[in-house]
Amino acid sequence: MTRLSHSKVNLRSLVFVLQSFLLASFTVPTLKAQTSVFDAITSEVQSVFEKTSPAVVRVAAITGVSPLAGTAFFIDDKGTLLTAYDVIRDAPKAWVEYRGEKLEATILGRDARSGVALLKIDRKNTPFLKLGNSDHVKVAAGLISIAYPYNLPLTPSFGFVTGLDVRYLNRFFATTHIRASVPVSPGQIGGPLLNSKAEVVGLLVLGIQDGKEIYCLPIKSALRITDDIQRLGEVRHGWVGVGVVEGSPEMKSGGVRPVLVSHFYEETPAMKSGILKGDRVVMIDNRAVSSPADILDASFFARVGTSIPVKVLRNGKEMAYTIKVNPRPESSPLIDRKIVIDGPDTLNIPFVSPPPSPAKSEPIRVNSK
Amino acid sequence: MKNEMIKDNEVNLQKLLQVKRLETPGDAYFNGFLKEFHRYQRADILKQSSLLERLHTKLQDLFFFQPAKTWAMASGMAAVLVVLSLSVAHFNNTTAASSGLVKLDASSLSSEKFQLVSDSTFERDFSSPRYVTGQTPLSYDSALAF
Amino acid sequence: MDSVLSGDISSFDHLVIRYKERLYSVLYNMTSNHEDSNDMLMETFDKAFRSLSQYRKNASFYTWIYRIAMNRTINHLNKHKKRRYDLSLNDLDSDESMERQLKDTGIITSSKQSELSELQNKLNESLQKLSEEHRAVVVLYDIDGMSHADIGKIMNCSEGTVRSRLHYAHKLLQKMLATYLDNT
Repeated sequence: MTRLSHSKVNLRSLVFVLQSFLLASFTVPTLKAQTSVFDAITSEVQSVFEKTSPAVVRVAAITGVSPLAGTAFFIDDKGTLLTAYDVIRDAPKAWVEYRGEKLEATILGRDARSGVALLKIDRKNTPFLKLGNSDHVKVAAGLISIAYPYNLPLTPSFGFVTGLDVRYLNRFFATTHIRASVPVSPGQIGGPLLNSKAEVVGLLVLGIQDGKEIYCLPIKSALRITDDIQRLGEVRHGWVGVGVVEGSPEMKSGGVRPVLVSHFYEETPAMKSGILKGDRVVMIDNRAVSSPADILDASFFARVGTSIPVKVLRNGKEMAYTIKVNPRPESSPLIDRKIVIDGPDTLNIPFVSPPPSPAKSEPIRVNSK
Repeated sequence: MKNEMIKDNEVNLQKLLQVKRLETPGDAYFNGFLKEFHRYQRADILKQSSLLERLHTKLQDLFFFQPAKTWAMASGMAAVLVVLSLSVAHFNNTTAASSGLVKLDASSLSSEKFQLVSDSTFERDFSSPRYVTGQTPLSYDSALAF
Repeated sequence: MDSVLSGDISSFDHLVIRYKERLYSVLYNMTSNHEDSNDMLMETFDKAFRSLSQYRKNASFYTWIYRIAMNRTINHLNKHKKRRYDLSLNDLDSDESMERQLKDTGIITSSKQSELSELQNKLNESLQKLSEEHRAVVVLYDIDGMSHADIGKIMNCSEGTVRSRLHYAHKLLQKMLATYLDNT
């Protein structure tokens, strides 16, 4: 922090303290009748917990050696459950514990790329969670998770949004994820992230820092996936075929590093679209682009079969194009792995991806034994 | 056609095996491994010291209820205990002290090591399940593209 | 290594960080089970830490730690032979990303996803059918990329033994895969 901002902070905190003091001196007599902030938080978390508990269930699936166990929650009154892909992986069957009964659930669909799985049990009038607007989630917002840790009863946890990330360590998610300092335990993945109005704003997908923080898929993104599953029976991720890079810090304009076209993928509509290498991407599908997150989010929400507008800046001039969205190929771009061992050799296993196939992905084949 | 396939697979056995190196539990597992290992080492120390405590209590009980019989046994046990305590204390000092506070927190509990009272009907049917902690999703890619 | 020998804990941490992935891969291909691999990995590093005094400086650290890992694992596998076959489910974690990467490599030319995963699983099954000693040489040579000489040091046998075990193991595996293909 610069000295100027430091002193600004000091002045601000001084004003804050003064205000609080004045407020306190006027309200101290009435405070006794009111609850403390701590009590307020308690009652709010309790209220959310009581409202949402009936709609949150345990899930188990058998895959590989040992069963997997996690959490899921109802999103409608017809028995439809949202959970994380990791809770069922590629298991052929899943079971849900609902009102003390163990029920087999139908797996409506799952998508490893987004981390979403959709289940259904044969029950009517199931209590379900209200869906909130994850676009409104901001850093420092207070959020609650309700889920099953280990084989313990349903447990609430409370924390704050610490970030909206598309990057974790050195790699990227498929779309922006909510990072929150809501402590989670094993088994809680697949549970809901709720706001104070008991609305779901996220799906718990990944615990990091030994469970001290959690990554959640925003509910809007999860619903984009479940929409595909319910309408099409499968998930279709879009693909235009443009590779981009973030410009170097020296290229910053307006405080932001530009996103530049760096290469194209073979046999994609992008190559013939008119977009050129070096173009600065400024808009995709009516979403303004100022960071890698925007690129990935636009790609995530683009629907296969549609054509999306793309705007770029070339030599200061804005150029507009329309590109068709194809299904995303299964293979991922070049991976070059180098594994160094304590010895004279360096094992270098290069992998080359075959040209991406335009065919749509086959449903996951499960080994029946 | 079948023979061609067989031949192809003979040649590819080596390559199939090489690719097995890619079978990994994911970055999340490896990123947390060192911490887990430290926890494993600390839990090991605790296990040793709790064993001693239990032995100690048992001996005390024996002593209390059947004083006459246990004198001989007790003196022998005492000698053993002294030796054990000394060696554990030494180990404690060298390892625990240098690896920091020894702490058992809920997140280090594994379902196999503890029998928790459960309200789940799953318990009977799914013994020792793997409680999911999430893995980095398949999209976790180093390439930036749309 | 000197700093580790003097009991400096954080240096040992560096060794854990350096070898965890490779050792995990070896253990996983031996046990085909994540829990066991994790347990064996912890035990290996723990044993290595405790027996640092026994490590002689002129020996290579990595053959030493591999030896500990293989010893523990083979003992464990021999002890739990019965338990393993009690599992009625598919013993192996099927991994979607593995399938994806199999196709990524362009090594496997088959275009049918189902055929790929069947082949992969059959290979895993066949590996598990080998004796621990034969599986070990395949895992160390073909998967981990170690030399015959180093494998001999780790398994405490001659280079010649390593080569003959490898030859035999490869023949067995190819036979098992061919049999499987004949039946499809």
